[in-house]
Parts: sequence; structure tokens; C-alpha cells
Amino acid sequence: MEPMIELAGVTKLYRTVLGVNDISLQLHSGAFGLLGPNGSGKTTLINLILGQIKPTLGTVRLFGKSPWKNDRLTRRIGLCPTVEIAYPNVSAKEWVTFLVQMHGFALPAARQAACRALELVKLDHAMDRPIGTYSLGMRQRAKLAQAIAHNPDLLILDEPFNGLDPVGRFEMTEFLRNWVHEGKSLILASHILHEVEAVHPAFLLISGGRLLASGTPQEVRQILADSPSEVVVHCNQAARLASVLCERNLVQKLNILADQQIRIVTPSAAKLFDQLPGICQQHGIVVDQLTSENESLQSLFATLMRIHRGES
Amino acid sequence: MISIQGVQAMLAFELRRAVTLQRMATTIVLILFPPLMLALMVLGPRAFGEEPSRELFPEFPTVFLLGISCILSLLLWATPNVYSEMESKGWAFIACRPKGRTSLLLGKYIAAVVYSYVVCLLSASLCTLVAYWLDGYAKSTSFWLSLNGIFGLACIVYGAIFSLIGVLFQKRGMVFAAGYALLVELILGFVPAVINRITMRYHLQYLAVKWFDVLPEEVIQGMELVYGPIRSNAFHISVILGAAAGVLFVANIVIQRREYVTAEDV
Repeated sequence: MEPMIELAGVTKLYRTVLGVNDISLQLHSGAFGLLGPNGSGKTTLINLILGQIKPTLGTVRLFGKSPWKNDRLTRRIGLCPTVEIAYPNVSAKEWVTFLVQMHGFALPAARQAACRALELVKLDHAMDRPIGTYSLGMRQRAKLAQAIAHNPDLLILDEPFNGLDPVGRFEMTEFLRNWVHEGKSLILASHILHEVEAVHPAFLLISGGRLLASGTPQEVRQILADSPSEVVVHCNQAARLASVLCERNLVQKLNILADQQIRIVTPSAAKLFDQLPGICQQHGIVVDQLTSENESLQSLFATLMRIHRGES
Repeated sequence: MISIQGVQAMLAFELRRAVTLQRMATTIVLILFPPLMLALMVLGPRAFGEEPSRELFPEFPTVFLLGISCILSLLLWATPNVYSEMESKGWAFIACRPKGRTSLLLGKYIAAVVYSYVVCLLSASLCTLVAYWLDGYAKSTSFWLSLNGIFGLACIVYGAIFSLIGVLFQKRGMVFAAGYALLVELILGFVPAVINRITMRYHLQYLAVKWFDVLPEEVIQGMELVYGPIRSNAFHISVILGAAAGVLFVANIVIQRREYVTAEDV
């Protein structure tokens, strides 16, 4: 099956500034979270996928074709960029209708599609009001409406949760879940990890213009199994456990947080978890609680960033 | 290929966006500036008991004043085609549509031409009224028609040139466009050599000379000696329209191939 998106050794330089650096990946239809801190290259990657910029090195293919100057492909994509709408005296209905018309729709069909999209994002009650009177969350919904109004196959959202209140965030998450359930593809760029996690598990992690990891969290955890990670153990003999772990070279760094609590940075979480039950049994140590930062995408991201920075 | 729907949508949206107090105020100033100045040129001498100069009045002051309005209007509308969208963040939404860049270029160009032509039309009508009312000008209808013909062609060609400048120079496009108007059209246009024929002023000037038909034959012959020969109307009009089409073609190639990147995208 042909990948939806394929990047082969893609590097993008803005004169002397590195946008993305030697990224290779293949994404089949589905939903992906594009995660990375600000300035990590997310927007550059999106612009490369959209064909708005050319790679300095390497090739980009979208639905099997080069997206650069390929207008037919843009019909299949809905983009909700991170930038704000700056047409204060125009209503959301007019703006979305205009953008749907740009896809080649006749005015009545464009107006109908715009109204439907605005209804889907629950902005139909205010769609005739000028955008200048909208709250940040309403503008975010209008941006989403223009991205979905022409019924694209692939929806690309850049920081869609910005400015949304908790209810808005929940509704956005629900909307994106439904979008994915309908079998459509989604790329969601964000630095708010739990929101990405709430929509779907597959992700791409990018930092410093490099792709650090990709796949489901399970797949990445697999990659990380032998990588350093942090574990906090609550047990009845914290000092004793610390001593045994040091003897067995399972500890890279260790903090005794309290009488019954230690924080361990282990070179191999898999090895630690493999040996810990035996150690506890052998030394009569009772573990009440064991928490690993790797339980959430947030910690996965932090760990990968540490590895990338060479801090492990 | 051009998306007619896209160009139409861009044009309609651009004109719809223009309905703001700021733009309306600018429009009123641009419309009223030439007739008010023309009125002052008549009333000023009369206030001191003198009659305004009859020679070449009111054709050339009107053309000059309307020219300023026309160029200013096109500068404000056509030049910031890409920059205004980059600045207002509309670019990201428009450029990812099929033929979005071409639609933006042509939609904004047509909007600039329509707007500037309407400004010139209204202003020229008021100038004609002023000339008629204050000076009893006899050839009002032909004067009005000539003005509209000249400024219609000027809007088409200068709109295209300023659009190209806007596409080439994302920032400071207005400075380059003003520089072009001054250095090429004004200074180069007055150079008594073949080079002045590359300016649009050369063709518009001779069309004005023929259409207004007020200059004595010896003055026209003198002009031909300095600036080059007068050709047929069809030749001058063809050069102007051809130049507009050619410049727009180049602008379209540039806007299609260029990577427009803001600091936020990096």
C-alpha cells in the first residue's frame, strides 16, 4: 500500500537556519500527533508536506506525488494553521465561504459547505457576526471549519487547542476522535501532549529539526526499554533497595527522597523491572508503589529529549 | 491554468474587505484631491483679480492630478498583494488552496484596477464638472471620455507592474513601487532618448496628446523630436495591454515558484 506521506532524507535550510534535518519517514493513512517544543520544526515539516516550501535536500511525497506546485493535492488537504485570523470586519460565514470557493466550488455550494462546517464546529449561532467580535476559542473553531468544509482526506492541524477553554478542548478532542473514527487521516501538531494523547496514540516526535521517534507509545517504549529512564519506588526499606540496586549496576543516579521513597535513574528500565521482583523477594522488601515517568506521553517526550541532548 | 472561481472569490472577498472606515476615508481623499486642487488653481488667481492661464487648461493639470491619485491608489492596493496577506496571516489559508497563489495575484490585481479606476472615474467626473462650472469648458464630454480612457489604461498597466513589484519584494514593496514610479516613469520618461520608450508614460502621454487634441502642431512635432515618434492609437494601446499581460505572466510565475516564509514558519 502506498504511503500517504513519504519523506526521504529531507533537510530544509532557511539560508543558515536549519528548519528540519535529514528526516525520513513513511506515514500510511491514519492519525498522527506531531509533537515538539516551539521552534522544533513542526511548522516547517507541515509546510514541506503541503508543498508550500521545497526541501533543500531529499524528497517529499504526498499521496504518491510531489506536493510542490501540485494543486490537485491541495484539494485533498485541510489545513488549520497556528496563525490567527485577521479579518475583523468579515463574518466567519463569509470567510469560510470564500475559502471553500477557492477550492473551485460555486458560490451556493460553497455557502452550503461553509454553513455545514460551521455547524459541525458549533459556531453556527455566531457565523454571521464579524470575526473581530469572536473570542479566541470561536476564532479557533472558525479556523477548523475552513479546514474541514471542503471534506478533505487529510486534516492538518497546527496547535488547534490554543485558546480553547476546557469545554472547547473537550469538544475539539471529541470532534477529532470522530474524524479519525470516520477513517480519515489527521496530523495534529502540538506541544500539549495529553491533548494529543487523548485523540490518538500514534505520534511523531520532532526536536531541533530532527525526528526523534515515531510510532505508537508502545513502539517507542520498546525503543526506550534499554534506554535510561526514571523510576520512583515507594517501599518499606528504601535504603536497602538502593544498596542492592547499586550492587547490581542497575542505577545510574539515585536520590533517597524520604525514608520510604527513592528516585532511580536506571540505564535500562527493562532490566530493572525484570530483576526487581527477585530482589524484593530475596531481601524481604515490600514495594507499595512504583511509578515510571514513561507511563505518559509527556515523560516519553521528556526522556527522548534527554537522550537527544545527550544527557542520559 | 487559472481558477476562475478562485479569482472571482478573491476579487469579491477583497472588495468586501475594503468596506472599512479607513479605506473609505482614503478613497474620499483620493477622489476629492484632484477636483479640489483644480478648483483652487482657478479660484486662487481669481481671488487676486487675475484670470487663470488659458493655455492647456484644464487638460494637463487634471491629467497630472489624476495621475497622482491613480498611482497612489494603485500603490496602496496592488503593491501589498503578498505582503498584506503575510502580515494579516491570510497567506497560510489561501496558499494551500488549488491555484490559490494565482487567484490571490489576479483577484487582488483586478480589485486594485477596479477600485483605482472607479476612483479615477469619479474624480475625473468631478474634475470635468469643476472645469465646466468654473471655466465654462466647452469640450466636457470628449474631455471626460479621454480622461477615462487614459486612466483605464494606466490602471491596467501600472496595476500589473505594482503587482509584480509586490510579488518580488515581500517587504518594502511600496518603497520599490514608489521608486519605480519616480525613477522609471517620471525621470526615465523624460530622458530624450530611445530608452524612454520602455516607460508606459511614453505611450500614455502620446495617447493623451492625440485624444485631448489641444496641443498646436509645432508643439507636437517638438515632442516627437525629443521623446520619439507618435504612433497609431492601436500601437500604443497594444503595447500598454501587452506589457500588462506580460508583467502579470511573469508575476504569476514568480508567485508560483517562490517560497514565502515568515519568521514564525522557521
